[in-house]
Amino acid sequence: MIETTVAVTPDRPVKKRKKIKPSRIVVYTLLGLWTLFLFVPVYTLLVSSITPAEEASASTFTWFPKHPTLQPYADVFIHDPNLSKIGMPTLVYGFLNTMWITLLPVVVGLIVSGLSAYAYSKLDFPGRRIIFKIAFAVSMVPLGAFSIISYLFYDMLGWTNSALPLVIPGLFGSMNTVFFLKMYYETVPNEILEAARIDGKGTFGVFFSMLLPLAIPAFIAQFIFGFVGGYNSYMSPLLYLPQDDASTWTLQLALSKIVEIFPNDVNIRCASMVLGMVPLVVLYCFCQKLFIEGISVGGVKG
Amino acid sequence: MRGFEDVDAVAPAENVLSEEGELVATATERNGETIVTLRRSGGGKLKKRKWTSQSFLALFLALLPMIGFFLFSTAPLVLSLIALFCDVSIDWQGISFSWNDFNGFRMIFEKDFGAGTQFAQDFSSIFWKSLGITLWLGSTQFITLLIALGLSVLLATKCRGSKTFQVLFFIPHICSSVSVAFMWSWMFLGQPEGILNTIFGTSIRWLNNPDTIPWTIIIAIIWQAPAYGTVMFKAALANVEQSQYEAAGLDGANSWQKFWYVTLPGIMPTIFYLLIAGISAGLLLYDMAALIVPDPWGSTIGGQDHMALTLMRLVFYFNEHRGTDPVALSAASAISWILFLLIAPVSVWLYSRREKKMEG
Repeated sequence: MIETTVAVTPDRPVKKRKKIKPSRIVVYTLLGLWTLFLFVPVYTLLVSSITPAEEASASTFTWFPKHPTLQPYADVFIHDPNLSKIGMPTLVYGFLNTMWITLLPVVVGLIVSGLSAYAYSKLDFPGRRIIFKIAFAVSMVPLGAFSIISYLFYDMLGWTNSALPLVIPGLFGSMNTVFFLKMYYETVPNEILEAARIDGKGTFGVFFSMLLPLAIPAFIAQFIFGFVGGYNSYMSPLLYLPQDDASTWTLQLALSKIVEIFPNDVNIRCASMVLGMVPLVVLYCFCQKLFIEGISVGGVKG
Repeated sequence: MRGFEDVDAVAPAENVLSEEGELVATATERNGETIVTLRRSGGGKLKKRKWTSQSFLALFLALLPMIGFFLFSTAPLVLSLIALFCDVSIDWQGISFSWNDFNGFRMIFEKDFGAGTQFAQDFSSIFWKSLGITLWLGSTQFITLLIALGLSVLLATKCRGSKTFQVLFFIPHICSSVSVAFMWSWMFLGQPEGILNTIFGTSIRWLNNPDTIPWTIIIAIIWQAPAYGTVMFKAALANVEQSQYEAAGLDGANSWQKFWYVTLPGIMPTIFYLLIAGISAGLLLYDMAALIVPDPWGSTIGGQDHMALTLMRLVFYFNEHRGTDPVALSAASAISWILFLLIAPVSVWLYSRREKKMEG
């Protein structure tokens, strides 16, 4: 045993004995500075959320509250003025609204996109190539500039002041997801699907029993991409949800109105903001790799 | 799809059967003959390709996202095109259009026009100012890109803890613009007169001064936006062939030359992609500007001197006040189309690049 350690160790001390290069110091300094820049605003938010109101009104910013309290986090739910009006704290309502407004189109849209990509890459129909080319070209047109003026269209449909414009379009999936999933499907050999087909599975059977499970990493990546986008979206809910009915607001919309909800309590406002960030950050901590992959891969690279 | 010409030229039908079904289908289609499907349970059973319930189903599935696209992207686009030239009114009776004599364009380009509308305000100067502000704030994307590149290069040195740094650096990307804007407003405004002022011992009234208003938005964007680019660049850097560095090293290249001649060309596609995405995001900036410098009732649009009025905010303003004067929707349409025409050329370029990649 001893001999083997001796045999292995010579490599390591050499590495360790290396002098710390000046370039390393520069690297660490820059990384540290950026971390500090990222951290300071988050810290001020966190510390403000646990500072009791008496201390916060002091003449200078309270970096370290003497008597930190978690009361503001409870007050978010207890002292909500909307509580009596809508029966639940605004943030809870907002969270539930966000969940269905985000999950429904993301999940359904993902399955639809998955089926569409399946048709383009593994099924056969006349004109498949040309239709795919057209779809590809058309979906490249950047329509972001029309996101607000689309209001006119939904107004015509009578969908404004409801969540319909936020949900329905997403149910049809998106061509970008189709491209991404199609590229992933190409790595799945046709023989496997053929085998499933011989087993007597139909078009949908092959998809749900073979292709979907095989492509699950791609689906998870797209799901995270869509979910983070939906959870954080602000402009569309602002545009379409009724501004005077707190029970329809998404979480982000509720948070953007937090000053109106808690006009006098700075620490409750900060606590609300922290609570709003918690779900995604916790999710991120548990599966950073999926997040990073999902988001870097979700926006299809050029 | 490559190589079907060879199959077409050489292989007789019986041999093709053992090949992939796709190849045969394409080959025969090219000759203008009836088309063959191979994906039959027997395998190798020749069948005339015609419209079966299976192919209808496949076509339907394939087209679903396109149907959604035409319903919810193209239709609003057509309607906004109509709104460019017509006053649109929607009420319980339905929708009606009447020719508006280019009022939308006159609203944002003609000096005296705005005063004659219900808005009683000259919007041409506001529009030009807003365009300038949009370009200014949008150009933050270039800084963002540089910071992201710098950070990813630092992370790629694989120093101890670089994994942890990478995990940390990504967090801003999953924060919503609402929370980032709140956090930075807190930094600019928080008790007693701005935490930033407390830190640096200054007394700048960040959000009340036309000169500093744009910087509040720029700083918030710089806090959040590099996260995405850093991850993308990190992935791109990892994909640069190590052997190329070794070859460059043998040629006596120093680390700067290696970066310039090996790294940079290697990550060029990512740079282009992020640049284009950034230009588009920059020109369409809304969230951060509207959240950090909101419009209180009755104040100037977009903060003092309109210093935080991006074009998207102007569109939002017009849309919000569509009841004031029919010209509002036409003007909103006009600005939307101008933005579209600014972004589209860049995207067409991206499209041509990506199409090459999809086929190649």
